[in-house]
Amino acid sequence: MAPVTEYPQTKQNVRRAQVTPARLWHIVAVVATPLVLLVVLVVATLVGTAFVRSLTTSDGFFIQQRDAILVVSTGLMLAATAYTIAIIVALRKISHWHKTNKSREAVGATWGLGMTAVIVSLPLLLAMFIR
Amino acid sequence: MPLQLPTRDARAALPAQTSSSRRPGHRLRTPVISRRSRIITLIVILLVLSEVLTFCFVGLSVYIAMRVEYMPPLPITKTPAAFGLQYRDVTFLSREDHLRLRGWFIPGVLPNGHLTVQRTLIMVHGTRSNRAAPLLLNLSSALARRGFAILAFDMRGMGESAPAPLSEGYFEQRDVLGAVDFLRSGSLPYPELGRPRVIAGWGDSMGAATLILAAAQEPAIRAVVSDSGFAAIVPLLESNTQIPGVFIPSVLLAVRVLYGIDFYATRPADVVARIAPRPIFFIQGTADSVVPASNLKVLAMAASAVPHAHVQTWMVQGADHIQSFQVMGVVYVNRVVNFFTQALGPDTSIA
Repeated sequence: MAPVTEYPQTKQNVRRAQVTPARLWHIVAVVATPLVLLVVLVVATLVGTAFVRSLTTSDGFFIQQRDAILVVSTGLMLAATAYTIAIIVALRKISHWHKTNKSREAVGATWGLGMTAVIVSLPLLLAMFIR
Repeated sequence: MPLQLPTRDARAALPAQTSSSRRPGHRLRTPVISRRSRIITLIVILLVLSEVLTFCFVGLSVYIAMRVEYMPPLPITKTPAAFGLQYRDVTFLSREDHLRLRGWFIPGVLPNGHLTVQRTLIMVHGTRSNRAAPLLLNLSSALARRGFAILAFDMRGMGESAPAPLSEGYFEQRDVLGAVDFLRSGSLPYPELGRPRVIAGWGDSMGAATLILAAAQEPAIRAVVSDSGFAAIVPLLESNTQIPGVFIPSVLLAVRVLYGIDFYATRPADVVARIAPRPIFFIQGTADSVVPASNLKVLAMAASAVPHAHVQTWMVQGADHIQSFQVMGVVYVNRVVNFFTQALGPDTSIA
């Protein structure tokens, strides 16, 4: 009986089937960058707000409140922007992997981004369901 | 040659070539590519939704925190002069953060008509209120006529005192401690009457909680009357506030970040035992719709947990939040006067 289809064992196929540790780290880096950026910027915002609050203690309530809100809103906007850009970069990378037939990397990173979406939603989910 | 099945990756890569070769000029989406693009679309939607919703949630929490923490203060509409009492305006600073606080110093009136400041009571009002609140002013006037000098003041962010966020006792305890400092070493009016021999305090609702927090760290406060005080603020915020429940934890976090207020640490029940052996009198209405009557039990149990505690309780039947004085009238005044007289001793200037 003749084989239905036959695929040659090219070097490219062999390379596609294996994900080396270095490539795995590359996937992790692409997926984790948005979340790490977000966390770092949010933490920096919190620390910055506390610092500004301590600096403006003697200036009165309204100035202290204005400065604290300025730092918080600027920090959160920066965090959101950086997170969005990092996500776009990650999606482009995934698209590139698809085009170059690195589908293992692409699929792994796609699911990693899905997990990122869930983690970013955690504050809202926790507030809604764990009270 | 043995049958060799294609790998999953190879299968994914193959159909694009075969389909285009089979149908030249037509670019068909194969099931694999279609599934892949569906997953990616789903992930992108998830990412956008999660980001937008979470940042909206955080932004709203910050906005609510700002709205909750500061409201324009109520004006002072009445003075002790309306009750025929002598008084002087006073200004003093809170302890630690030195905020400017405004108040009245009302000397006590002895039966012979002489004035006295021997036994001075610090009157501490509740949330979104001030020293001219009807309950506080009426009771202050009644106690002054029974020989107790009164220091009634506006806590931070209320009345004519310096603007500040509302912290339900977390920062306001410094105001009470500032009042104690003022009575002990400040520039008191009526210098001919000398300084108070003993200091005690009365507070209602948040004022009661604040007074407990202050008395726990200041032994100069020799006795405390707590009317409708709470054992911990967070359960009340969760049950009574107009803030949607889903926002409570995030608003509390935003309040902590923006103003440095830790509502979770505002727990008079945790420190009330430190007031012993100084006497403490808990009053609470059984129909309190803001601070449930169970708060009195929690506070009284915590206060009695140490040896030599002197704890009295009074549950006023049918009284709503801070309505015990209104419901009981002169009985309320008599019980409070008796408590303070037992705790502080009589005014010795009568002789």
